Amino acid sequence: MKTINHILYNIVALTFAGLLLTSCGDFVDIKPKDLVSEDNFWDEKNDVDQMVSGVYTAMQGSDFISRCIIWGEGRSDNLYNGYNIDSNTDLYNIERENLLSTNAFTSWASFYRVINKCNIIIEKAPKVREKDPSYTQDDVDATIAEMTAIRSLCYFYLIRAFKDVPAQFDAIYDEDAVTYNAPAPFDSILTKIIVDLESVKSKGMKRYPKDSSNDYNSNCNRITQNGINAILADMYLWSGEYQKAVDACQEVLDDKFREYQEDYARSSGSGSYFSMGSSSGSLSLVKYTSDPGVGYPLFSERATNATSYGSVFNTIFGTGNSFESIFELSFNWYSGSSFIQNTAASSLYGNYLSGGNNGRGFLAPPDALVTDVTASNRKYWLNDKDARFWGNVHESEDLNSGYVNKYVFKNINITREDNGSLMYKASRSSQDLQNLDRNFIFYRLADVMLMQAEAYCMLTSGTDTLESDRDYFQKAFFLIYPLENRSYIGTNTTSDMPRMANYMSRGKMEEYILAARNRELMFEGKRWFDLLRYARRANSTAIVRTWVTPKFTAGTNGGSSALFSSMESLYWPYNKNECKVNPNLTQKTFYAGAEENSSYKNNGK
Amino acid sequence: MRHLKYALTFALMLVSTLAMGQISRISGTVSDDIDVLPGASVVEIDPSNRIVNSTVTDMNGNFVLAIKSPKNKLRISFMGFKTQTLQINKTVYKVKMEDNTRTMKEVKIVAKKTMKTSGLAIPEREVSFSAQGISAKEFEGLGITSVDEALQGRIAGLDIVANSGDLGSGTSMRLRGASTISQLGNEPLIVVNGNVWNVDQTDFDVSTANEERFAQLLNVNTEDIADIKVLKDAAATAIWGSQGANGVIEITTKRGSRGPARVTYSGKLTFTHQPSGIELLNGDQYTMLLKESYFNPQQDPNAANISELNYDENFSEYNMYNKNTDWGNLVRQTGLRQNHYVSISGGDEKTLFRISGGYDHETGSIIRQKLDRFSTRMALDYFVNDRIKIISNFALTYTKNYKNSDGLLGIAYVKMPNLSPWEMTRDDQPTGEYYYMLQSANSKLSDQKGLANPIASADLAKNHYTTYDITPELELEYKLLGVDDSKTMLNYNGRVVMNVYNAYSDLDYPRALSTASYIDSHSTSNSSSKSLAFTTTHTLNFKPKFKNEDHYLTMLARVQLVSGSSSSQNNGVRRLPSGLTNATAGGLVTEMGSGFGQWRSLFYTYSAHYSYKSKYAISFSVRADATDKFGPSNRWGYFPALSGRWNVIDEKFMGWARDKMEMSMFGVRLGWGRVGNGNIGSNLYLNTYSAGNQYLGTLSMNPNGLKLTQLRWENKYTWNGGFDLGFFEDRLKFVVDLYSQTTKGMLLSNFQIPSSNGYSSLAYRNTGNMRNNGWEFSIVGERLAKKGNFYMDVNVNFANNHNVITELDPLILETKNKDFERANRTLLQRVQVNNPFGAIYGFRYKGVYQYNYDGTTQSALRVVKSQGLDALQANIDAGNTYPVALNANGQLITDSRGDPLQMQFCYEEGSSLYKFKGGDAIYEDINHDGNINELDIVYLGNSLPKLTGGFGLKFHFDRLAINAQFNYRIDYDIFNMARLDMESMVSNNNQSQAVNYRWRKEGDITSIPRAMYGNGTNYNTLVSDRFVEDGTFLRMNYLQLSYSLDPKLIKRWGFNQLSIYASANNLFCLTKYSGVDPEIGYGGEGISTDSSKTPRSKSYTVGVTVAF
Repeated sequence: MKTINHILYNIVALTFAGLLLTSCGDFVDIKPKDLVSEDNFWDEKNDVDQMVSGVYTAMQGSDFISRCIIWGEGRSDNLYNGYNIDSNTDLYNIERENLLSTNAFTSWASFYRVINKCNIIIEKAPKVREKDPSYTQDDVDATIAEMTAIRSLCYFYLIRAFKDVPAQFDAIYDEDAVTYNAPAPFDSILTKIIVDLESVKSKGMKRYPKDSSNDYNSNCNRITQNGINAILADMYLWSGEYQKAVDACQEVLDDKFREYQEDYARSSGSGSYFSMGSSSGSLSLVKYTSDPGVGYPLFSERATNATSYGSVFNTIFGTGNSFESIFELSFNWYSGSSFIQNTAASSLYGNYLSGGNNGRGFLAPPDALVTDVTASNRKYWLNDKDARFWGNVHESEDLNSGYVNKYVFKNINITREDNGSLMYKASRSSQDLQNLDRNFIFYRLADVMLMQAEAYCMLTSGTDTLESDRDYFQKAFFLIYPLENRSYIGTNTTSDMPRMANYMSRGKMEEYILAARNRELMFEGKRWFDLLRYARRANSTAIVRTWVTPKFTAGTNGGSSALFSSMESLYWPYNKNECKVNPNLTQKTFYAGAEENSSYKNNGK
Repeated sequence: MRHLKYALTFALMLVSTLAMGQISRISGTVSDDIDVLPGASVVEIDPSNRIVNSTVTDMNGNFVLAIKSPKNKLRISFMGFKTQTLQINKTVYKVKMEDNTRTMKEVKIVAKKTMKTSGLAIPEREVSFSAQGISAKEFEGLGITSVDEALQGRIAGLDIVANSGDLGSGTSMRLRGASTISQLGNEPLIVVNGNVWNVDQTDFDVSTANEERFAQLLNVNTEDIADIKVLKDAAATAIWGSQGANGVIEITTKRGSRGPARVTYSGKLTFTHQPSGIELLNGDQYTMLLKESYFNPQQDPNAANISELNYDENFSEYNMYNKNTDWGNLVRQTGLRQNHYVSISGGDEKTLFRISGGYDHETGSIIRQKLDRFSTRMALDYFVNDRIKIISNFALTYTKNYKNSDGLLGIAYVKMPNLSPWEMTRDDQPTGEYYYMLQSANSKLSDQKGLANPIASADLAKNHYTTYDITPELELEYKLLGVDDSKTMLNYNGRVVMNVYNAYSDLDYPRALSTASYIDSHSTSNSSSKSLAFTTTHTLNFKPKFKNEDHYLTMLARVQLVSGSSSSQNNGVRRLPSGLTNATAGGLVTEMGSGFGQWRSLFYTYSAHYSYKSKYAISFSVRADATDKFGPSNRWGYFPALSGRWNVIDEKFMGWARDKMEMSMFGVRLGWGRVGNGNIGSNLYLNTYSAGNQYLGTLSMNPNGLKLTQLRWENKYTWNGGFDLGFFEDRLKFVVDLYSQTTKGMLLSNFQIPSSNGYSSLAYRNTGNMRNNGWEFSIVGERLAKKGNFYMDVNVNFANNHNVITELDPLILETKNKDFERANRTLLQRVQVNNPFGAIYGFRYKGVYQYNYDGTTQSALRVVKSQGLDALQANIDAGNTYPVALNANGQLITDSRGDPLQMQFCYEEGSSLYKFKGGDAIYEDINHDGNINELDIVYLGNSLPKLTGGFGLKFHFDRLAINAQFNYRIDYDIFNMARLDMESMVSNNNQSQAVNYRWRKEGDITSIPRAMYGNGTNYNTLVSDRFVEDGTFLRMNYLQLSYSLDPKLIKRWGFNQLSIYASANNLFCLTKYSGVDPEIGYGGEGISTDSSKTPRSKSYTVGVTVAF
């Protein structure tokens, strides 16, 4: 009996010892092995850098880029039914101006995802500094500036698409912090993001060290001070602060000129009165003849006696990361371990899967935009020798139907064929369709120049009579002309190029800037926002109706006169699901009417 | 001689005694009254009755034994004699054995039949929870592959539905209905010999995990099973805590029994075949249909100008598109299954063993499907002594499943029947090559181009799935106090179980089969996963002995630790050169990944049972679960249960019933309990970051969702009341149970939040309550209607379950309830508070518009307005149908000009989606507004069966037995999506014969609308009562004939047992349902949607069991 007791004692003791060891539940407290949990994160600079990298990869997502394109241009006169669009109900409805709250493109989740990541980094970066001495205060400030810029850019997109949107400027980590925000007004958000950007502008990275690899160029692949200034300039155009817009643009232009001088200028190029590169595509200073300035460092198609063109397109969009770029996302289809493809652009514009279709995407330019090039009274194109038409829109002899080449093709070759009316034709290699790695450009030099032109134009008194008005129109014209000129591949500049005298009134100049912007920035997600900005300025939808309604051919949208009837109609409806889960988000009255059909008969047992 | 030996022995003894000073060797003789006993066992045992040394007496009854310790005892035994135990106090023994027969007094053995579950062993008549058992004898010799097939229709409240006819596709089980709308799964827990199958299940989605769950059952050879118990209410399952929320199925496997080694062989041969199912169009009918289908929407003959349908001899592929191919026949075959099974069992006083091995080879009823399975199980019990027992179990199952890469039957049902399976020469002779549709085939047939040639796919593609399931187990039992009931007992049981599960899959899909596009064709992938888990269990079982034997108490304390990890890797390539079939061979790498999982849990269980005079019994248990899924503050879940039973039959006043009615049992039970569920993804209570793509050469880190601070256990509260009635010594038993289960704080996945928070959803949130009420009734009769050699067994059960959502966040309701999408074949799902799941909503179908009415008819009418209108009205009154709006009285509704209004679909703000025409479906215009829209949607039915259950009869005539088992479900509605798809006529898919009766021209009276190519061209297949059917059925699950040969006869051949069986499974199914099988798996949130075109296979089995 004694031994039994002894054994019993031992077993009981052992069992309870075992229990005590594990009694606190520590046994089940296992840490993930393929994830990093919060207590092992936010310790060093590297963690911040990798999170920043995560912000950019989130922006590279197809849902993000496709919204940049669709919100920025999908409803405009530049894009219409492409190949097989019937198979994509959402796009089909957008191209019929049938905007339903169930449309996937009303979802803003991908933007708020980026915003929340920025919020997290802005909040955590100073705390990392406390732990990691190698992460300096300047580094922290630069990180915060970069993230603030991206966050502001996201909000800028959101308010231009939806007008009033929920404002979330604090990081959310856990479910207790989940907010059910009501939308904040357009103006309050615009003011907030402008103030934010102004406060961090000077702390942003000026220039990144050059990388030896050709895969990327941090100077334009990440937000720099130039990027911040470009975004700010754009915002000022919307807030009406035109002098600030001019200044912001000037900072960019000055910096670009400096960079040109430091890295590119040759003795022959710098400071010369009028200079075109000796060969097509080279970087040189371009300006209008009577412009007293030094000109703008741009790539140029113009080359004496050349018969083959396309290198401006190939440099800026084909290869990417060009000198002209201010901020673009770098894609790499198959480079080492990264597999990020720009599938959004490819499927919207290029439809890479339809082999037999030669790469026409869900969206394509409407025929009117294509045939316009040969029309006597052109609305879109300056002349029929504009490399931008041949490069962006067109491919074959068929002048009636267009393709979007931008963001799809890597190589365009425009050749002159002096036979009758058809003077030029472009060709491209279909192999490019496999490599879906065209960079997506948010801001580039040409955009900044045109923004400054618009700001100058808006600084005029409106009477078109003051001396200062003339000065501003001239300045605006000097900014636009180099862009028109560098893409001209004809020979007769005097008759084909615009004349300054024609644009010495605000109405004319505004109209010209709108058209010039469209020629230059076509398919880059700018057109609809341009129209919207002009409409807001005039507080009338007339300009949208004028430009956009012609694309709807008879029958596609019965009463097209009813389209764009109010300013509200220029913005998107809130996503239905968002309205369902957020009680403080009620559908806009303009769109609310069509929603009410949820009364089902319930004869349930 | 004998004396000399004695002397020698004695001398030796003396020497040793002298040398060591104590007894070290003894000798003696064993005899009975008459003579010496050779072969008697003489053993030295230590104080705990462990055998230390032993010998047997020789031919003369003598023995010599070296003694380890004089403190030990000597035990002498011989068969038929009373065993003697003697002190070791001398060196020479003369033992006289007493004959047992003479000394045996009448002994009354009082043993209570106990119900042994993984918890406490409780006398069966004191069981106060709801459980039902079934012995494996019931399904001996049946042609089944896994035990769930045998359980079908046998357990009240356990609804089992087969998933599909493919090999290894399994069943889905619901015990007492679905208790949650969360994604945690509703399948009951399966416990084999007290062990839970601990295999990583986090990697795959639980809702599609049927195959894997099925594997768990498949890995237990049905021949190894001794009995099965189904624990239903929380009082029974609470000892399984969070694991047992959906009920528990406990399987006990056979173990060895004392006696000489017994070898059993059983062999079964099963033939399976697929019934032909829905009749399809042949090639000629099909091309005619497509011609109409292309013509109708555009009214343009050119629309149907497709070379492949034209029977144009000049077409280069003419001979390939002029056939009448029955694809179904080409892919079906008679399947054959062989099951071989050998077991050896036996044992002696110290050891029990049972070793079994089974080999199954199965060819499917679809061509090229094959399944090989090898399983072995070893059970060893070693009794070290009275107190200590060591148990070792080992089970291994190897399964190799040769699957089809494509759903062949699925393809066969839709593939164009005018297409030839073989390439033909110009003279229409087969070349022996498979024919693949050309990529250059008409683009309108692009959906057909995506369908592989099914017989080519079966022959050329590879899809192998191999699994190894190994479960070694070691167990120690130690009786710390008393060794039997006569003393207070405290037993310790320690057990370690290891689960090893490895799975490999090997896929290859050659280029030739990808006819839609050659881009990235010829894909190959290999993947493997392994999972390893240890479960350690310590159990203490305490059973005090009371002086007053009316009291009975037993209790149990248990602690269990589970720790497991899993890892997986996969790689896949595309664009391999043909001939290569392995992913390591090169090609473009398209997928490459690895996964890792780890899980741990900790359980404490306490359970007690007390009874007084076996008349009043009360059971209590509580279990504490800790899981790695929740944060430290919510980590522990406590699951208590309390139940009681009153055996009224034992009361004095029931005497009359015992005597007059031969009532042997009348007991009332009541139980309450709470169980939980927390089977969600790991690390959700933490903020975690994971690595993503690179940007500019820098790896990115990304937060994984929001930290869930409020996550806690989902709890299920159950009340269960019931009574047991027994007659004729319990040969006839009635059991009735009533229950109410309330699930609170359901763990709902993907809880939607405003995406302005950076995320659109939370992974999980506890929200909403749901209640399941129901009752179950079962009758089991054994050896009834005995007449000479005849008797019969009966089992009947039926059950009803009704579930209601009692509370749900309105936001969730909003997001769960989709709007009417105004499109064909989209089901409307409604989850509503205080309504059950499974309600079907849709339009009422009223046939097909006989005549057209559109602008043309309208202008014709206007010419002779009065005549036209009146004639139209008269026509309508006569029962002819036109697509015009009618008011509640059946009068035409006219516009301001007096023209009748055409019937419209979703008219809104001046435009409608569609105007109905002749040949289109008529939907009842409930509100008579001439517009078919959301407001005409009505309630059409409910997928919750009124009754489910089964019954069986077994007749015994001497050694012949006939066993018939049925199951049924009564009064539930099915949405027949399969029929909808086969009658929709909107694509190039082949259709059912029914569409031959489609509307073709004005005036046709039919119930099938016209053919209209394109999903948006028509609204003929909106969800309507046309496709809602009553699924009530009665199925003969199996019919079995078994005969065991006369033991006397077979003894001569050396057999102990020889039984032969013949059985037929799924012999017939009585139902009005028009689909192939009314037994439909549970759809999402409850609507039973039949999308299967594959009827369940029928099988016929012959088998034999031989024992030596």
